Amino acid sequence: MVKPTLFVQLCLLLGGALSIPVFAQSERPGDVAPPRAYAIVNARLFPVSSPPIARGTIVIRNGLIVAVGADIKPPADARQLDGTDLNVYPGLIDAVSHVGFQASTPSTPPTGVLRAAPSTPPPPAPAGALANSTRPTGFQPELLSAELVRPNGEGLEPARQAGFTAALTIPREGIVMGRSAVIALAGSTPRDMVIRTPVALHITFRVVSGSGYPNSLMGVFSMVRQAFLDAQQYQAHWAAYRANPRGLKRPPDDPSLEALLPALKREMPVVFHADTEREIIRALDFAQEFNLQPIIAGGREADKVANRLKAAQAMVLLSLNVPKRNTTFSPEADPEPLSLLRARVAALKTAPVLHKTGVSFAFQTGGLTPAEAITNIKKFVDNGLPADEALRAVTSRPAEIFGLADRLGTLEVGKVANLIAVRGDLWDAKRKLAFAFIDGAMVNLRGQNVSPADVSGTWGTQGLKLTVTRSNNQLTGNIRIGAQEIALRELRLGLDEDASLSTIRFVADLPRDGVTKTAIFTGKYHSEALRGSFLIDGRAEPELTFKREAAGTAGAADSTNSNGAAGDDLFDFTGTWNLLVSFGPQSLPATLTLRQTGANLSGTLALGPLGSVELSSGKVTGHRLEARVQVDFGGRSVELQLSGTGNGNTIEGSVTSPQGTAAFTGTRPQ
Amino acid sequence: MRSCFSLWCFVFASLFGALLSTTELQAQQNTKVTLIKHATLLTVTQGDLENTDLLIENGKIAKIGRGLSAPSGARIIDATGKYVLPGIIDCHSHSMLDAVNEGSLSVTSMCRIRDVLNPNDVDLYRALAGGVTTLNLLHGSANAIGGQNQVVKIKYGRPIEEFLFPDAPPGIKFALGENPKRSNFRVPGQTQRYPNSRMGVEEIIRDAFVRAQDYKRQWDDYRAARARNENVPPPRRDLQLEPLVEVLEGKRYVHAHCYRAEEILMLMNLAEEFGFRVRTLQHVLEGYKIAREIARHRAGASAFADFWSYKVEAYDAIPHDAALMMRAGVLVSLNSDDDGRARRLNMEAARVMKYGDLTENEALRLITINPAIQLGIDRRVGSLEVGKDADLAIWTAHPLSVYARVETTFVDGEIFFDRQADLAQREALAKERAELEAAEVNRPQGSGAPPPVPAGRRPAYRLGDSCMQTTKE
Repeated sequence: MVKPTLFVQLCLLLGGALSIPVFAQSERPGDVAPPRAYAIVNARLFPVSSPPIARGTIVIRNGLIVAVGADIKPPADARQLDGTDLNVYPGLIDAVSHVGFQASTPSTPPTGVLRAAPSTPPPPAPAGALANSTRPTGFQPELLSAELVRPNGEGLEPARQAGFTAALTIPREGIVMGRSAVIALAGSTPRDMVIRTPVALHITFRVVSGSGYPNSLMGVFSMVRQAFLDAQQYQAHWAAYRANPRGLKRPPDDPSLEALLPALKREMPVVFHADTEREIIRALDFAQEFNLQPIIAGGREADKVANRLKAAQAMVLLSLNVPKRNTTFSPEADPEPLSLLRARVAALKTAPVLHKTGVSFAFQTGGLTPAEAITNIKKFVDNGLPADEALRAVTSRPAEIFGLADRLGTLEVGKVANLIAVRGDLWDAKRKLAFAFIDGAMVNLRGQNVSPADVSGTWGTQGLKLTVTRSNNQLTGNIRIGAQEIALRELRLGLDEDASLSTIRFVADLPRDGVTKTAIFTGKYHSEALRGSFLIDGRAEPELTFKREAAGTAGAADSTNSNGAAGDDLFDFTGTWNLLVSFGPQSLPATLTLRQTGANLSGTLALGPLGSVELSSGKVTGHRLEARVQVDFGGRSVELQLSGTGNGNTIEGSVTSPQGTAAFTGTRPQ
Repeated sequence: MRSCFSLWCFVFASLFGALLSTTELQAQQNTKVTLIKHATLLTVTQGDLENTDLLIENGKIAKIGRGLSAPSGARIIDATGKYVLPGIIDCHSHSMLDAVNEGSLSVTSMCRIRDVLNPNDVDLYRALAGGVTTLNLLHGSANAIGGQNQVVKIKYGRPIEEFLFPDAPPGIKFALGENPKRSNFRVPGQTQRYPNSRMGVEEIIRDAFVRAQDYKRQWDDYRAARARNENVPPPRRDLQLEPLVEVLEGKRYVHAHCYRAEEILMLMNLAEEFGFRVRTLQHVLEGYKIAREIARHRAGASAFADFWSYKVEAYDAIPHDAALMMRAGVLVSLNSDDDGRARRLNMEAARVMKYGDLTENEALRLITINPAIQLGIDRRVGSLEVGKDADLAIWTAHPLSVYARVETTFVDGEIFFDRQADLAQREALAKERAELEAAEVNRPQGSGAPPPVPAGRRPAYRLGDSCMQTTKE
């Protein structure tokens, strides 16, 4: 009887938004905290507009950067974030993206005559495109991205998790695709997100129609050319009519042609999506024909036309999706053409050549996952692009190109508080995003998720002993100072409206200067340490580092140094564990069969209706296990992360999916 | 590090990913003067000149004669025993096109081949290796009225602008018969459209020209009104009708794809009715049946030598077609309509000579001066004459011999193909390939998708004209 419900719970974990709160409060992906003051202290700052600051503080308040520098004192009311070992950059800007639209945005051309096969119903036209346009398929300049973005739109979450905070966005479809907007990648309403609209008219010379005109590249050019001529005539007609309507036939109202006029007057740039040399040349030729202000998006071979781009003052929104061979070797396949081999190698030089030539460019993700795109920046740096230029190309350059240099792209007082703090170099594949702020609000970084099982246990430092225990998903705890035991209040993990998930926070009444004072502890969890400090009377005390102490009865004496990396005191997880995975008030049984060799863990997870799946990259550190599982859910492969802590014959931990986290407990029957 | 640097230099020098030889050759091209000595010049218009020298200066043929001397620094080629033929002109080609047919509408005169040129097409290099220097790039034959053509010189490795033949009169592709009416086949993914018969093809061309006449009148009226200082807005510019107005005014050449005698008569009559002339009849397999009528209309004909039976309307062809039309006074050329055939147009001419009992000079005219006249570019190319563009090739034997092959091809006095340079570069290319394949981006992935099915190889011959393709390969 219970099973269907549990299955639904499982579905929610794997396939949909996790609507049942696992913890006290729901964490919707993408929720950001309301703005207030934050100070990131002791961080390495990369303001972009000025040289890096090796150790400095940046203060943000009400969505803006209010102080940056080496000698800034964090204001008392600001929530302090420890920036030790962190690099703080301006929030990244994706120079061309298709994020923020709802999944229902049609994948087929939205306007004009729909020529779908009779059996398939015609897809609905998106809001924003003209339903009664008589223009050919793919001609939709009237479409405005700003009217289509939604706070829960597609692609926003992965972009935020990778460190992007703003993006130029335009729906993918069409030839004259519409007019783009620069949006913040988070916001509570669509209007909150829009930073500037319309930014540019977007054109891709490509075939989108199966049989109607235009169905060839030639026809596409003719169609767009005719449209611009029509727009010129439309403008002239209306000008004459407005000047003196007497004796003139009223010209028809045409929002499609109207949308081309700012481009014709050079009041709005035209982004041509063009990758190869000849595509870029064709775009520049077309821009010249109508005296448009061209921007090239994609630009894989832009280096070959760098001089012409410079002469035309055309900027490039360069794709980070650099080509690489993605096929395996086969002795039967024809050798790859030399031109293809050359093109792949040459593509790595695009950014360096544009930089050398003096063509202004910004990076775009180019269809890669945002995280992969950032890592690809390194390929350009390795091929001669100065690192500071590379950083500019994802921060200040896009801001300049889109006319937002006064608001975005650098860490300067008065600018929008879009920034990220990264452990490691920005384009290092192993970097970790520690904090991200969009409009001064902290982004909920899912990768840093921590479960109650992770922090439960005993932690010690300098005469303080912190014990956190968990029952029914409620965390309780106390702190011992000498013989005095003080209960913890408001003990929360990343549940505070303004806390990132890696944060632990509690309140305790501590004795200070002979009186009892209310102290707020905020700290961060790093697998075997809790680092943070008490805030008493608005003043932060020196930082404390709590180390995990072996809990329980057995062997407590000799395992005070519980550094898991030591390797000698590895917990042995081998065996069959019966688990209960908690979905809110209900639980689902699961079986974990493990085999441990040294620190490596293999085995299977049998999780309800999903059947038995193999674990991968399982490893053990101290008493802690970590492993991954790929499950096939609704035709989609979903990766689950499994983590847990073993103690005797009991285990507790959590399963994390891209949609949320569920805690589990279990036993190992002997 | 150094080899890496030179690799980069190389990659950027070969701007278009062209074969290496092109790059190497460009380095030599500082020499503005070339003297070809002791060659047999097949001038086409002024007879064959044995043991004669030809001097190229500034891209033009500067002197023809014996015992010519060149200034120091000039490139001197001893062509003893070799032949020099004007660059071959292919009057019907779909090379270097990213799109061939805009197959949606029956009248696509707004489309321009100029918009979709691909200067990297390796078939261009192969055409150069066959002594071809000029191409008439035509829209396909899917529509009764197709797109606007582009005549190019094959300046392989150069920017697109350098390809465009200077001052070549503009043209447009028409098509009659099975391809535009489409009643014998369906184009995948496309609905049937009007017209479905040869009658309909005639009607849709007539309709287009009636509209064009009306459009011209609108503009004439507008200009007249402006001349009277009236405040009238200009008419809408119509890119579909503009080129047809140019046809009516005799400013744009009609190149009509056609097969059957009666449809050819139909088009010539229709053209005469609207006061223009069909410039060339393309394929024109039944032209021999109405050769006198074609001659009277003064249409050119551009044919195959002996290629037929690939569709019903191509069954009545004979290998004497070109020769018979020629004897009737029609200006005849041969064309390839195919990247493969483009490399051996000299052999096409030889076949027509064999079947039709032409003289050698008449045969050579089919691929040189005749297509030049048909395209309106004979003042510049098509023969070896002082003052003409130095578009020519040096052949190892008489070009009508099966043993002949091209040694060097010049366009505007610059070498764009050289057999020895090509052979010499192959080792360097192999080395470059090895270096490139070692680059990380070119290494096969350890796992992942299986390798793609190799791209379809070009068939040895094609059953049909290539006019119905949508994109090249």
